[in-house]
Order: sequence, then C-alpha cells, then structure tokens
Amino acid sequence: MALLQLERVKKIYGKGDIKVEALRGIDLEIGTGEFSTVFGPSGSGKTTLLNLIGALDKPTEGKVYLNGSSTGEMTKNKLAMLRRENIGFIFQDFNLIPVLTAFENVEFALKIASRNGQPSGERTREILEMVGLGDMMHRRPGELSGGQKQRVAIARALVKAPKLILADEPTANLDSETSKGILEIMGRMNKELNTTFIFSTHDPMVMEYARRLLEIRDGKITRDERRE
Amino acid sequence: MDLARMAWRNLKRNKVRTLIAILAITTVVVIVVFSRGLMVGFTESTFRMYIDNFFGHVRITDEEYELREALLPLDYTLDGFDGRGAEEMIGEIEGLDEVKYTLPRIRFGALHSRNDQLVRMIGVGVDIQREKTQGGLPGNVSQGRMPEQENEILVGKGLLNELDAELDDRVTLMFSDSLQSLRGKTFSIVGVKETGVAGLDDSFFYLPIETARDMLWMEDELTEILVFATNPEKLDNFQENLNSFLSDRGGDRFSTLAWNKADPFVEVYYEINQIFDLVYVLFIIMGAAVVIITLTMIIRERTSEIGMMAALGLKGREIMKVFVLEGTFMGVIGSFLGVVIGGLITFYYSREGLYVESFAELSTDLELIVHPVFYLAFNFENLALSFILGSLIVALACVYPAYRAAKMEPVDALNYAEE
Repeated sequence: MALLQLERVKKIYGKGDIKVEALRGIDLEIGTGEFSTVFGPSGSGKTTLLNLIGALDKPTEGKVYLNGSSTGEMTKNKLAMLRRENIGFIFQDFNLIPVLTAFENVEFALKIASRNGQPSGERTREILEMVGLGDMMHRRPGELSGGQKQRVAIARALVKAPKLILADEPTANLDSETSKGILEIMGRMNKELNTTFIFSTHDPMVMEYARRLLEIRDGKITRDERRE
Repeated sequence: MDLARMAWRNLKRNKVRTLIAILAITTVVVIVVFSRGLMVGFTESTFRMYIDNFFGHVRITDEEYELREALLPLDYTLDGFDGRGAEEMIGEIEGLDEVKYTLPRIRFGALHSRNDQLVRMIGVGVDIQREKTQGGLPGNVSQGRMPEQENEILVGKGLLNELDAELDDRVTLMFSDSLQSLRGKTFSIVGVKETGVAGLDDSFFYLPIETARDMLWMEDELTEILVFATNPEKLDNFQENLNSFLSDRGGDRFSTLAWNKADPFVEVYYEINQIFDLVYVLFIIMGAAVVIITLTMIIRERTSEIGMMAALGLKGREIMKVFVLEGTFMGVIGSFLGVVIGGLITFYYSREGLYVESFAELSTDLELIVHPVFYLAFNFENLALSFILGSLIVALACVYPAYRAAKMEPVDALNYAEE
C-alpha cells in the first residue's frame, strides 16, 4: 500500500462567482522512502498540493489518503494527531520559535509527538549532531545563520521519525552553498532512515537531487518522472 | 519544553509591550486595593462607632422608650423581668451562649448655663468596670482618666470647648430626674474623650452608672442594654433568639433593635459597598482590556507561528493554552505588583489616616457619626481578594483572543506571513 494516495483531488478557493480552482483533479501515489520534488511556476498549485498532503487543509473534491486514512473525513483534532505522529514540516521561513534554543525547538516537536512520558533529550542531541549542529544546540534562532536555522528545522522535522517530511521551498532563502549542504543532509536522512521526502521548489539544484520529479501546471500534474 | 515555560519566555519577546500590559494591570489593582481599603476602613470604623457607642449588636430598651427616644425619657426604663431589677436581667441575658457581654446604660438630658447661653448635652451613665474590661470608652480617653467617684465625669472634647472648661475644672449641670424634678449637680471633669467624630465629641459626657441612678432617682433600672453577640455575622438569628428569650420571661414590653437597622445611613453604606464591589470589577476589566489588546496584537504577529504549531500537531486547545498562559502570567505579575504597591500605600494610610479637608468639614457641620479622617483597612483579605480578582479576570479575558488563535485554520495561519 502506498504511503500517500490522492484520488481526483480538487481544491477550489473562494465563494460565489469568484472562484479559483487551485488543483483540478490530481491523481498521485507516493510510496515509503521516495525523495520527490513538486515543481512548477508560481501559482501552479505546488503549495496547495503540499498543504493537502500534509493534512493542513482538506480537498474540495476527491480523496487524500495518508497511511490508508482519508483526511477529508477527519476532525481538526484527528488531523492534528495525524500530523503529530506522521508528518514533519520544513518551511521556507524556517518558522522556529525565537524564544527557544535550537535544542528546545527540536525537543518541543519531540515532546508534542511523545505520547508516553518525557523524552530524555538524547534523541534530540543525536539528531542535532546528525545535521551538524552539535556545538550550536544551545543557541537561539537569532544567533544562527539562515543555513543553520534550516538545519534546526530539518532536525525538528526528523526528530519524531515521521513517515513523511514535507518541505515547502526549503532552499528559497539560502545561498547555493548552504542549499547544497541542506540537500545533502536531507538525502542522507532519506537513505539512512527511509523517510519519505516531498519538496516543492523552483530551485534547479533541488530538482537534481530528487529521484522523482512531479511537474505541476495550472493545478494539474503534467509530468511524473522517476530517475535513478 | 512545556507550554507554560514557552508562554513565560514569550513575555520577553517584546519587553516594552509586556511591561505596558503589566503596568496597566498593576495600576488598576493598586486602585482596587486602595479603594477597597478606603471603603472597608470607612465602613468598619463607622459601623464600629454605631455598635460601640449606641447600639451594641442589639440594643434592648422599653418599647415606649424607643418611640420617644429623642426626648430621652426616664419614665420607660428597663426594670428587669417582672420588675425584679435590671441587674438580674443582665445576668440572665449574659447567661445565653450567643451573648458575649452586655453594657448597661442610662441616658439622660442635661444643661449648663454659660454666659446667658444654654449648653445642651447628653449624659450617659456607664458601668465603669464593664467599660474598662469590655467597652470601647477607655480607648477614647485622650486626657485624664475614666470617672470613678460619684462626682466625676468624662467629657467629649467638643463639649469641653462648649463649656469653656478644661480638665480638672468643676462644672454644674442641670437635669430632670425620673420624678420630673429639676435638679443640679457639680462635677469634676477628670477625663476628656476624643473620637474625632463631632456627633460624639460635641454632645456627650459620661459618669458612673451608680451616680446616674442616684441623681436621677432611679432604682435598679436602666434606659438601655447594649448586647454584644459572640457571632455578629448571624445578627438576624441573634435578634430573633433574644426576642424569644425576652418574651419567654415576661419581657413583652421590651424592644430590641439591631445596629444595622437603627440608622438609614447604615443601609446606605451597605448599598454603596455593593456598588463599589461592581466598580472594582469594572476597574479590573479596564486593565484586562489592555491585556486583550496586547494579546490580540501578539496573536496577529505570531500567526505563522500558530500555523507552525498546528503543523507540528498541537491541538487547538493546546495552542489556546499557550496564549491564555501568556496573558495570565501578565495578569498574575501585574496583580502581584499591584497588591504589593497598593498594600504599602494602604498600610501607610491605615496608620497615618487620610485627611480630606472638605469631607472633614462636611461631617463636622452635619454632625455625622463618621470619622473625619479616613483610616484605611489594611488586611490580608483585601490583598488576597484583589490579587485573585486581578489574576482571574485577566485570565478569563485572555480566553477569547486565545480561542480565536486556536480556531485558525493551520493553512491560513501559515499563509498569513506570505500575504
């Protein structure tokens, strides 16, 4: 069974006469361990697609199945639980909590996901060392560079060992050298932990790293290419 | 990292804004602590004056005496159950569990002639021993001492001035005895009573009850008995039980009057207090409004962060908790500071008193039974209540903006920053 399945998914924004059809019937299957990129011009529907996959939004029509469960029928709380247990997010603007240190930002995500007891901190340290922030874990986001912030965001997404990580333009605010480093870390995590990654991007460098390319135009997938 | 610690650290994100919100709460809590101290102090001291000087908790008189009280008649006295004497009656009343103690009194009118002017006054025969052990009279003696011999009197400070006399002077007073004969007696002024209340200091003098009986041709009689309850909170019950007790012993012609029903002013004070309770709440709501505005600004600024928290899997009520806690911390800190500052101010004025000239003049001119200097009530109850009121109202006020944050759709919250 595929980790993720979309059936004739449509997303329409607006009411009455003013309607925008952001997605126009998407069919898609993504399996465990895939490293995929969704790309396309601005306004093509990349972010909308990622929001639906990440259970942040519900489709207007069609079904989104994550781990076999349809998100369209879930309550807000169930969607929160689904995200908590299965999905990690990496945002373009990092979205770290400024009053918490790198360690605390990552630990916060782990605590939310931990159903039983409090995490010991060992797992958080391990992940931060894995992304190369072992010596900066007690710095606050304001004391980190853009690349370091994004590495914290990756660690935060990875720490709870989710089945799926969604990254919305993760390199958009980074220079090419830093972007390369970030992509290498994500590629390594994908291989070592078999975590499924889906990116949305404009960045050709990200596309080079991806093993599956999904091109989206005017709300439809126009290209689905796998490569070794 | 638990949500409470995060909420606590969030306070430091915009220190000036947090400080403004906290200061708003502090200010209103200071106002509440001060005004409660003022109102409670004023009310308690006024009520105590009624209780100690005129009524006890319940005053027993003859029914007719109560009707003609303004004339200070000596025809309608308390002469005990079936005329067996007032002493025995007092003993029986004091035997009741609900009674703490009693103060027997004989009140009568008297006159003094000075420079072709008549000075009117009210004499009060008091049981000196009881007053010394239980009454409030000795506490108000500002000069000299309590009267002990049969020709000694304690005089109110204002009355002393009216008489143009001084301590240790002798003064001759005229009065009608119980047989309606006009009589005179010369007394030595051995003490000066000063309460600061014109209504008390300008009209009253006190003498031993034995002297009063003797000069007024009274036997074992009294004009009134002030009864003090062990539990003054249950005044209605106490009065009812006392009425039954009097009635059972053939005291049907005796009348009881509870202190809080004796003067329409007392009712007014009660009502003013109730209105002020509402004013305190309104004051704190004003302060809470600043916190609501602050929190609304914070939530607007952190919209994308709310989206991120939702993306991490925080449920709506957990997001709500972060913001309610943040606002509550402001409320608790502000209330605490308010209680400390307000407490210090209240403590100072509870010792030194707050003199408001216009009020003092008014109360003296109208001869109100109120203290012209406000002594604020400094007590733990006021501080605790103000703290709880401040913290609770602010916490409740935070619920709505926090609820709005929790209700945001994660996708809308995340996209907010992109707009």
